[in-house]
Amino acid sequence: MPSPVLPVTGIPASLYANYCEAAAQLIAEQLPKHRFWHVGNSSDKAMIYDSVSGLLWDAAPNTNAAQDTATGAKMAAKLTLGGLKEWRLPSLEEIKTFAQQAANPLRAGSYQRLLGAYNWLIQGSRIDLDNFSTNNLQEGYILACNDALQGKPGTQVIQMAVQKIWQLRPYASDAKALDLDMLLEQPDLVLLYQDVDYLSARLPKLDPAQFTDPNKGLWELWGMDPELLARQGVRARDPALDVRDWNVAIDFGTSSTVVAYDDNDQHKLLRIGVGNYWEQERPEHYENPTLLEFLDFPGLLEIWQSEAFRPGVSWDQVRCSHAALQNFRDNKSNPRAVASTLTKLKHWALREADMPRLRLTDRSEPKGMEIELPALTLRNPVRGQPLGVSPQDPFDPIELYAWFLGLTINWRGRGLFLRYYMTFPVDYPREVKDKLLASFRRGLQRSLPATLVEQPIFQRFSVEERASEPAAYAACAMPGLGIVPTGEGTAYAVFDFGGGTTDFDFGYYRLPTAEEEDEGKEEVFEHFGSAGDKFLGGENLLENLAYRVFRHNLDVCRKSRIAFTRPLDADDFPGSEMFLEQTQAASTNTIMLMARLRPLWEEGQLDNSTGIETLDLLNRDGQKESCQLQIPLEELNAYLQQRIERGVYNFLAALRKAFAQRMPSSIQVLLAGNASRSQWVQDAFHSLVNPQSGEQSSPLQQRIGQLFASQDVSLCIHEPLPVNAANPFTPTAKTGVALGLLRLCPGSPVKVINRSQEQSGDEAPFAHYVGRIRQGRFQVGIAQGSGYGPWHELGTPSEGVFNLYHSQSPRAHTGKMQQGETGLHKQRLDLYGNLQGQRVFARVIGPSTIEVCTATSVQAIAENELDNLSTLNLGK
Amino acid sequence: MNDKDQQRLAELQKESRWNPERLGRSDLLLLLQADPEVQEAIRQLVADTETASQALLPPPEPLQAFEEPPEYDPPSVAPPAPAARPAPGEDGLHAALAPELELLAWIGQDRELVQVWLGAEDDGERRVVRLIAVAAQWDRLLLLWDRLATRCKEEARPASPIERQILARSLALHNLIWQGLQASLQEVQSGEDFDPIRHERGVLHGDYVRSEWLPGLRNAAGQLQRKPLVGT
Repeated sequence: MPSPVLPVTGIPASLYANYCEAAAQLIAEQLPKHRFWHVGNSSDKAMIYDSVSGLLWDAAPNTNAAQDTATGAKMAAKLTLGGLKEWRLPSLEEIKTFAQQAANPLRAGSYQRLLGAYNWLIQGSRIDLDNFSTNNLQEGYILACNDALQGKPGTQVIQMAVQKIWQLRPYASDAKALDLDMLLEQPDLVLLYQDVDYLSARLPKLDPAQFTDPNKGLWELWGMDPELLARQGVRARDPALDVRDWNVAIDFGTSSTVVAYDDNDQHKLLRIGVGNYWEQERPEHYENPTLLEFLDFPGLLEIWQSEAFRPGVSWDQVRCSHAALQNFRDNKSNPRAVASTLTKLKHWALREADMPRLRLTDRSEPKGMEIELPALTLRNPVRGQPLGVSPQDPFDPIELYAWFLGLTINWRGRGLFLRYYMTFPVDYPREVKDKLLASFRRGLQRSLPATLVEQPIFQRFSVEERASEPAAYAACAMPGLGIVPTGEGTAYAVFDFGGGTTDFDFGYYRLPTAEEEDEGKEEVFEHFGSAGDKFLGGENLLENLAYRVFRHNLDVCRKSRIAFTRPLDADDFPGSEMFLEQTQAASTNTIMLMARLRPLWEEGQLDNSTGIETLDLLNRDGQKESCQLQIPLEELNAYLQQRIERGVYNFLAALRKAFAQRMPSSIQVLLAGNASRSQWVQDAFHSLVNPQSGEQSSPLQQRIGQLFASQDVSLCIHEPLPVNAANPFTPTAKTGVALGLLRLCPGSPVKVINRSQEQSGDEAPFAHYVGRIRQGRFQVGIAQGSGYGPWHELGTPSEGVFNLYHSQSPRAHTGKMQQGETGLHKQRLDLYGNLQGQRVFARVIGPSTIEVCTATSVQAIAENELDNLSTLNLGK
Repeated sequence: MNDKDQQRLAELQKESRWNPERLGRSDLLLLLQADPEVQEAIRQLVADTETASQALLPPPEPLQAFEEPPEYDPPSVAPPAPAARPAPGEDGLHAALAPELELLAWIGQDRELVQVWLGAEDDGERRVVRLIAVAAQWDRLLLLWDRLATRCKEEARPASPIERQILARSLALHNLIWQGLQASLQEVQSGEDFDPIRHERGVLHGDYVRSEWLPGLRNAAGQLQRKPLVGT
């Protein structure tokens, strides 16, 4: 339907188009109730609309003068009726069907005669309606028909009737003409806006009181002509009256996002995209899946890039969170469903401009529209200026996801919020965090009513970073666990095991200094030495499990020509080129198997204890093949145990390094993140506090014993905060981050000092270990967390080449990482010039970036006597 | 059945004999779903097919291993299906296995299910044994549901009466392994608001449940493992 002209200013074009569509639909429901409709206006000859065939017919054909076929065809083609051209003679079947209907208003005379006449022209001939015989030599009357409405849905018939100023009246004595006035006059504002919240996010439809109650009214109507509002009996509401000066905390996670807000010191959580907000709340509802499902890109982009505030994007074009996840899981064997869902939204933000673009294909028929997502760019709205949109804007799915969050946060039953705080993983570079903040600023701003943005109070709008994820969790969990701050500080460590990565954070929880006390602070989290295990995430472990199962069943895969994907941290195998692919079919196969193995990871055992999983996998032709895969349970269990123990060891290695200068006698260890609930994690940590002596100790215990050989430190392990089904707002291992963030918002008595960030000038700490191989082992030249600026010697070039090694594994710190070990990466540097007496130096200039040169000494570099200066990005 | 379907059914029942026209797949499914005459004809066809297949079976083995054939407990969830009557003089084993033979006949008409459930190796009574062995396993039942649901989604239609019978009868076989607890079908009422947590979509759009396309599955512990597939 073409965009109608807006009859009232202030109404979004898409909303009005929806209104017209709905109104036309309502009217069009009348059409099938009668087969034949009189179509006409006051100044033109009438037509008959056949609601079954969709043909328009001349309602008053001339039965005074018969014509031959050729002349009749020409005369029909010259007709203009109801403003329509391109009239023609009917085919034999068309007129036969038309004439056979008893309700046909032209029926008169015996048999199937029309207007008493039996002889009518058809294409290339003449028909006798008494017996349906044809004769192309005889003359007949002209009954022209027109295809303008044929095959068109009722809404388009109504739309054309409005455009052509037709009236449609059924051929029945007591029937009334269709009421098209609602499409011609000013829109009914109640009808127009009653679904405004439902349309985009399936928030509740508005009840009549919302429009009429003196204490309610609509933000969207604010500023509209008062006479129009009075005439329609509806009320406008100043959105500034509903601004809640409360903080909103957003923990934007890899798998799920938690939104918490401060309702007069009661900390509450929000559900996003549950589909039915009347459903009984459950704790898992508040972990909002971080994903988007695209159904109709063209429709989405047309509106998203043309309306800045509360654009009328439809839930039938894009869905988010719970609804999108359910659909994804329900259709995990459908490659089209997989290709239309953006699951790794947060990972996408980390992609750099020179990386291959992510492709998505929507669900439109027949094949779907494919779009490429360019890398995320920094696009901050300009303070004091209205945010604008245009079709040239790069599509930013994070902005869209933030908009969905904003629609639920700023639901009219709750109020409008202007102060947002976000948290990020400790190792996110400043550049990435700035881009994410900008996307959220745009998305959240666009969720506010346009009538608020024009007001002075909108100047308060802000979206700011506030503390790292593990620090926010500590701020929530420590007081909840009864741990109190002390003068010298209680040492703590956070093991935040999520869906994407595991973050480590270390610090002291202490009482404020006198100076801090003057600032109004009562407790201080001073953290430093943060680190992480990049590949220790729940989803990554599952992908590794699936990979191992496929590898165990290569014969089946070979026979059925099944391909699958390789996790980023896994090794390939001889012959793997035939099995490893990055196609939709391969991704779908991996996703299907991951879903089947999920209970093993989350609950410790598979649903099916037969040892065989039967799946319909996709072969290389995209056809389904029923495959029976053996599950090597012992191998999978061993993998999980070893990988998690390695993660725990990495954590302790990072802990030792963080507290190296002053190792406390006791450290409070907080297990955070949903994945920490896994029995494997609990077992690994509990084995630390209940060590077995001598030969009975496990390899992990032996290695940790060596790590802390000369130090006596006791670890107090705190299990992940449990779920409280009776009170979903109770902090859990997952929601604790967002709820903790609320404790850290400005004005609170809690202070967070990030020493690592201070050392690196507000940038994330250096995230890598860099060095060379010596005696088959990795020798570190620059350690994780090293300061920015100073040069470090790495080694000597050999034959014009220096092989630089780097890793993010905390194991690198132990000096035991071996050449060829997974997680240790080699980069060849080709060096030029006279290298006699030269050495390779490097210095940190970004969280994942170093500068490399050759020189004889650090002193020489200071005097600018250096060669082969280049920049290396270790994050690629 | 929505208004459009009812109207079409009335047309098919009323007009088709006077004004023959080409029937589409949806017409055939509609007739199968709602026209008593067609349903009766299909039942008769199934009964005839089964009788014919039984006639081709080798003579039954002596019942040494089945001195007391297990009682068949009709499933509470499965609609009563016309059981194939044993021929006069036929032994009691066939009578006891009548529901399973009927299930075998239904599956026999479904090439895809024959391939994945029965295989090509077995013939005759071994097929019945294989069918029972396969249908008794919960994960195979889930896989059956997945296959039927995929078909329904791909063809944008509700499960046919035969497909529903296959699911229900297989579930009844699975339930034979439990005492007391029973797995069950999860049905849904038309007109409910669509809820992605409780329903699975048959089509991409729509906000309320127009019709149930395939009932969901609850395991014997009462856990919903497959949501009802619905047309919205």
